[in-house]
Amino acid sequence: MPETTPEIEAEIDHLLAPVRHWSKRFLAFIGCLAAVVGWGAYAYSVQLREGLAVTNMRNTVLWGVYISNFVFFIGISHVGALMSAILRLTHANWRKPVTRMAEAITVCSLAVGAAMPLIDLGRPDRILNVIVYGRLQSAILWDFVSISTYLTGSLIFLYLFLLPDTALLRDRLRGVGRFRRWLYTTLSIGWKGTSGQRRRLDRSIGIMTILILPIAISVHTVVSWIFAMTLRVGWDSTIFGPYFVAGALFSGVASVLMAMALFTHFYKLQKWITPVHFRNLGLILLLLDIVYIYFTLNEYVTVSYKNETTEAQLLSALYGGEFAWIFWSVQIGGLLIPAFILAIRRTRTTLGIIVAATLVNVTMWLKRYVIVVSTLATPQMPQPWGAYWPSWVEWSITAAAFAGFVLLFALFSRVFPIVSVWEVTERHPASETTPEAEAVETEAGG
Amino acid sequence: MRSFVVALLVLASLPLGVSLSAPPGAAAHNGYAECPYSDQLTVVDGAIVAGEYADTYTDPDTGITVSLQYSGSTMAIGLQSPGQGWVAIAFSSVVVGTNYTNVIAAYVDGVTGQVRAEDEVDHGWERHWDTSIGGTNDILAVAGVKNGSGTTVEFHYPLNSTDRNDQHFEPGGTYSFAVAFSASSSDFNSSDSGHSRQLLVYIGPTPSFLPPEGTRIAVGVPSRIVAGESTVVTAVLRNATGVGLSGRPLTFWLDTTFGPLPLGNATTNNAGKAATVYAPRGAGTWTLTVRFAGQGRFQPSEASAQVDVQDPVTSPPPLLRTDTGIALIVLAVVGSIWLTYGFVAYQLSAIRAEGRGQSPLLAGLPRLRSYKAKGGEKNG
Amino acid sequence: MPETESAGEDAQALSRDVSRRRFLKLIAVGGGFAAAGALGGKFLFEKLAGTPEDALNPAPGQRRSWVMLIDLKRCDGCGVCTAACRKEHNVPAGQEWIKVYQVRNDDGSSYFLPRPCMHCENAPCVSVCPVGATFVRRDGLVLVDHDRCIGCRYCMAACPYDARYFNWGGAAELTPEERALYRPEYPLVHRRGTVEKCVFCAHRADQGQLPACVEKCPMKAIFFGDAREDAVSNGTEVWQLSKVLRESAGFRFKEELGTKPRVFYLPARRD
Repeated sequence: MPETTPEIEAEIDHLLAPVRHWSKRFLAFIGCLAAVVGWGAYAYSVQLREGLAVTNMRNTVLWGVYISNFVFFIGISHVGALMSAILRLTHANWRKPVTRMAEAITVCSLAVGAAMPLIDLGRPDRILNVIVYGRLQSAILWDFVSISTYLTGSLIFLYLFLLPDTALLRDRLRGVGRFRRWLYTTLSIGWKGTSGQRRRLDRSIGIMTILILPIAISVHTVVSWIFAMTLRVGWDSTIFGPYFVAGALFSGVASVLMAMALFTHFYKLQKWITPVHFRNLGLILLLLDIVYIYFTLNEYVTVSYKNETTEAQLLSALYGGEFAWIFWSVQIGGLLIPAFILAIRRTRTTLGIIVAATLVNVTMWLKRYVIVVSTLATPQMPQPWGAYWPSWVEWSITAAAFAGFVLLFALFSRVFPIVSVWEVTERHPASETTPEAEAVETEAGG
Repeated sequence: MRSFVVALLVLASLPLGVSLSAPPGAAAHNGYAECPYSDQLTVVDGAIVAGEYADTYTDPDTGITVSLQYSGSTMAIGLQSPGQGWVAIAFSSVVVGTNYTNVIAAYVDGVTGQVRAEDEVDHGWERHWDTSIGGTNDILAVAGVKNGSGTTVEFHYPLNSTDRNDQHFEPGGTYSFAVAFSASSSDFNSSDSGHSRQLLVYIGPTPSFLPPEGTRIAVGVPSRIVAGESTVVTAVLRNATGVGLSGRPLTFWLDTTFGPLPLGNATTNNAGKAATVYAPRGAGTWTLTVRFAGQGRFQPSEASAQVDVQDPVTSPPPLLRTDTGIALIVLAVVGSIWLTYGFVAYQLSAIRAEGRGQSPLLAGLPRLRSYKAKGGEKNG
Repeated sequence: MPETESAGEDAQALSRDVSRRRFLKLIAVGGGFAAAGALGGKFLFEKLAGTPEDALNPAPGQRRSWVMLIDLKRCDGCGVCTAACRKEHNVPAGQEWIKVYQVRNDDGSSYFLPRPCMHCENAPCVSVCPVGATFVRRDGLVLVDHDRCIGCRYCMAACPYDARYFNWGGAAELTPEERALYRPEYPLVHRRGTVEKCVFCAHRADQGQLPACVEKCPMKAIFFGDAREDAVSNGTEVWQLSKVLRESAGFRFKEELGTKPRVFYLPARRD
């Protein structure tokens, strides 16, 4: 074990406090979340019993909130790759207190997101057919391969960064239950912090950092290609790949900001997650907002300019028809207003940034809903528009998905420290590579 | 023959086979001769006896008596001329619009009794034997007798010869003709001593109680064609004796899964042949059928033939299918990612081994050079 | 602390044990990889070599290419085709495997457009199916294997003609009697959670009979046949397909999408 000072010990204790003791308030919280998840499970059992007829999807709008949730959750999973990989490669050491949060969001959102298409299946009992009879020509197979690869990679990535902390937990947390002691012992795989082990860990982290980036980009690209490989208006677009990747990064950063706000408040992490972090991530959010606005303009201005017959129907529904309220709240509330909040220095306070992030996250769910539903509602044949409003089963499962995500995340934050202890308290060859970076970290109060 | 020829020019201006409105069997045959149907063909011996022919007609201008009848597809014509020279009968030629007339002329040699007969085409001042202009001498049989009171010639001539220089006769049709004779000349080129005006002959209908005559169709198909190309399918309609039946409609069909597909209709030409275009779309062995629906006493008949259609030669498929290539690339990329995961897992196992004081799994294997370069510290 | 050399037999025995254990672990790991590699190789080979749907294809000698021709001038929108198809296949409520649309022209007049499944030569639904449950038979028919369909409905999203239908409700599983009745060519029994559509009455075509909609259409507006024979029939007339398409300006619906549908239409108004 490296030497510690009393200050560092105090920090470690503070960071481990939520893991050590679960307050009643927390237990009540996860109790509520579990209840929502349980209600969602019941709704799913109804769906299994009665079939998808209990949803309001029909032959026109054949995908609804399940697929919207899928795209949304897979979308916010990008933030792990962003924080841990991109920011690491660019030596942005301020990221260290929040990387584990980002990675945990990635893993939890991938788990929930990957479950959504399974819930949407008509014959979930045949899911193994995708492996046994899988056709590589189908975008769903690309999704399957890509998401499973990314989930595995993110778990590995999360675990690599978690490994030294599990040793810490194994050594320091004696009072927790037998299961958790066993968990920490097993997960720490004999980590002693020797130079040989550190070297291996560095090497693994270095490899995974580079590997995770193309995987992450491929994930949301192939998710978008599920839509872009069809001939439907609104989906038949060549920029869907980068559009969705940008949108994923956008909503992912917003999610991290929301998570940062909550954890800083409830776990009292102000020492590590400072207004500098909010500002930096807020500026990243602004940059991504501008990129997303750019893509949105590309998509809609070109299509509106030409106003080709089939596209014109969809556009009129989006601009002034039945989807107008969603469409404009996304553009104005989700793109323009947050851009102003983040751009204007006076409004770019921590609170302002959190408000902007919340707006972004909420409207990005609406955006995914509009992408899925408005295109399917547009008639392809001489017939009326498709109508869709989610049923109670779909709302329940959606609520359970969000509750499940928060539940997983919250439980994670109570089983492992949500701030990477070894990165913020110790100096470790894996955390920085340049003397300048070291100096910066010392200055930032690590 | 010259004035005869002039008369023939008038004749030639009439359209082929014109069927005029006067009903058959008009009283006194004024200007009408008839050629009725007879079950029996005449005997061509040069002597015309009463009742031998179904109908006789005497031209008032020349005094020539024309006796006519037909059986099956053969016309029997008898000419009795008052002269001692040649005698001729002329019909319009099939070659319409060219002022050709079909002339059958005959001369009986009083000394030898031989008959010289010619199937000719006359045009203006020209005279051509059918055989000299690519046609055939279609006189089937001829005989003649000459005595002091005149010349008698009998011959058989086909109703529908295959020669386009000849007139074709259909039962029920009315045709124009003329007759002429020479008093003494044996030279068919000489002027006539008398010729008739334009006369009309009505070919009587074939009685329906006659025994029906069977027909046969022979279909001609190319032996091998390629899908997408068009070819011609022919069919020849023949009667029971093998004579081609002209002017009959034939229908062409292709046997398909859900019924016969009509490929086209065509009318047989003088030789009894009809053709239609066939452009198959797909490879395989197709059955073509030609049908004759029957006309008059000719029975319906049909015949089929098979056509072997080949697929057009296409370029060979590419060596590597596109989706195979994509699959290989994808699996290579994904495989290498998972191999890297495996490598990281190995690193983790090595970390664990070190934590337990053991050597890593692959410790006996050659090390990665960078490890040695980095710290020189051995594990194990 | 790495264990280095030690004198003594204990150390030697220990290291022998360790090396034996290591060897066993190596074998286990190597065996695992080999198994994974073999499975992956088998998977890859099957993907590249062929499809299991070959079992459902007709024999090589029977090369067919089914097409349908619909004369829009004759169609009066009566819907007998839809009813006949429903009766033939016991089509569940809410599904119209051949659906008759009423299309309005700019001048206010309208005509009727029956839309069966187009059985496209370049079918988008076949491209996107993740499990190969929808496949193309050698005679061009696009069928669905309801034993394999997982109900993801991607094929329905991909079809530009709205020709596919999903069983949102209905029976989840079949009784053994119903099971015996089922074939992809003749989906007489329907399962919840799977996608189905018009099959050009494959079971009838295999026996040289016309589809139900073709037989029952009172206006004799629907024709069916083998494009290789260049002949389509509505039960009473047999038309030469290429000739009638050329002469009556035949067209295909949404030709510009490149799906290459097998259903041809003759315009509703022509001289």
